[in-house]
Amino acid sequence: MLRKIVQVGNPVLRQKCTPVTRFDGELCTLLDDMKETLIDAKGAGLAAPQVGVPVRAVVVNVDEGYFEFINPIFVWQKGEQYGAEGCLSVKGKAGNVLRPSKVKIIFQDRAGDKYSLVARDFFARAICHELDHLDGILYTDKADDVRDAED
Amino acid sequence: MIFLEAYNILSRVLHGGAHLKIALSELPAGEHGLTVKLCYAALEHNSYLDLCIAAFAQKTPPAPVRMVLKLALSATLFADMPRPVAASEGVELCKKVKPQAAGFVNAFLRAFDEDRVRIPDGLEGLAVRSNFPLFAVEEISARYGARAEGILLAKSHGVCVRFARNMERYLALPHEDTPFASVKIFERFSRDEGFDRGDYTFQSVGSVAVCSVVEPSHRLLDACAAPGGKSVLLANCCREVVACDLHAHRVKLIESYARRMGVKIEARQADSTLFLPAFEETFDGVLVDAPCSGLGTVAENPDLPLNKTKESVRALTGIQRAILANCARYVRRGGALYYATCSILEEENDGAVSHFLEAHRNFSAEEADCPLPHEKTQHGLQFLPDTAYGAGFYVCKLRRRT
Repeated sequence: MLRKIVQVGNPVLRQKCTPVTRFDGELCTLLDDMKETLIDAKGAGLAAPQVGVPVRAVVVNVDEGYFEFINPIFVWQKGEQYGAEGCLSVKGKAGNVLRPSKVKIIFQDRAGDKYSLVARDFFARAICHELDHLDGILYTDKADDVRDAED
Repeated sequence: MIFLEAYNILSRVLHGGAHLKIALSELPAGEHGLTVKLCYAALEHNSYLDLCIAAFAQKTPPAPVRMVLKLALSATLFADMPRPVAASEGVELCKKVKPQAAGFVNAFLRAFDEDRVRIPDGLEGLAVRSNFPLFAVEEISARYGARAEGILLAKSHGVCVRFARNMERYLALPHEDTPFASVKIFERFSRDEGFDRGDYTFQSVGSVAVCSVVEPSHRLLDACAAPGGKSVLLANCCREVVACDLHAHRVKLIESYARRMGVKIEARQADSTLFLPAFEETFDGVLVDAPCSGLGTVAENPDLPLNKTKESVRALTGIQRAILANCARYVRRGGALYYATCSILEEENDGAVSHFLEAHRNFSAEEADCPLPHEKTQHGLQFLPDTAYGAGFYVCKLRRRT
């Protein structure tokens, strides 16, 4: 089911999200809905608070594939990349953000099993952007030149 | 094995006498987010974690196992790591460092329930929560009453940066102003090429406050100068700055700091407890930023309370008094002697000054002021972490009679 993407100004986007502790049907529904909502919106990533649920879960859809990260944590971040970002919760805007070029995270899947993953370039950027959402941070807090987007 | 790096650092700091910041700076290049976070959390909450372990272990586990538990507990209590993930990482680490205890670690982390950890009442509880040694909690409580809790539990405000130029480039980053126009405290700040150019430096607002009490003069001695932050700042208002430190390798730090910031300082190796005839009565101002317990900067350095006892502080006061007495001989008539620490303990601050004044009738404490919030003490200014942006420093201005 498509969910409504909340927009900047909604306090849920500014709160620190709580870890997922129950890996149950409710979580599966949330993740399925987030996937559908993300693909419908043609985005690269979506965090649970963006659909109004303040828990630590994000989905990412990039060239490397489609990923679900539950309770993700950075192990390290290396290098730098500078480039444009937008956000489904900040419609019609874009801005350049400095991000690490390579990151390692640990996370759980929807069954609660533990994994780690190293991501580079745009994938790393998407992960950083989505993980920031879980701590109430928007890319506009970090971008040096938020402007109206062309599309 | 995501805890291993943090384990190695923690082991060096808790049991090898290493300093946290130095140990972290020796990690291979790249950012080490989780390691840094876990090491800070484990040390900031060291007393509390000891209590957690005592509450769920029949007898005290050996040191390596305690560190494994502290890291796993820190990860789950303070770094958003789910308990099962932290437990499995903890067990994995334990298999490497103390294999026979892996079963115990597993059982402990599964049984652990934070709601069943009882923090004692009163000052002992405050010692656990603040991570300060009990003797310091007792002293601060006796002196500041209800305010003690705020002082002892004050958190770091972030990364304190003093700008020499090009400050406007960085002001889009989230930051907090301080009473000093060129000093800002950032939530996050990554060092860039501006640092190497000397556009800015990392310096505590407390250190800048100490410098603000020093009056401009022709010739200033900074007697315990390394790494050189105060000397460099004071070179802006004093024509000639001589910066001494006990250790030759630390003198090099002063030189490179001054070079980077583009100021001229004469750095030299000297033991400030030993009289140098060439310095006698030759300085308009002498700053004694004495070696101290550092208990005013615990918010920034959570490893400082480790192994601090009443006795270790007492041992330092002997050095503080010796440096102050020796350096007084370098002040010309009518000149000023400044005594500073990054401590909030009376014995290291007014206590040292009182002792000095009793033996030096030709000096008297002079009223000083500073825009950074402070308490006026018997002789000087005490900056306290709850109102001074996390910085607990002390400075006193002493005038030599003409």
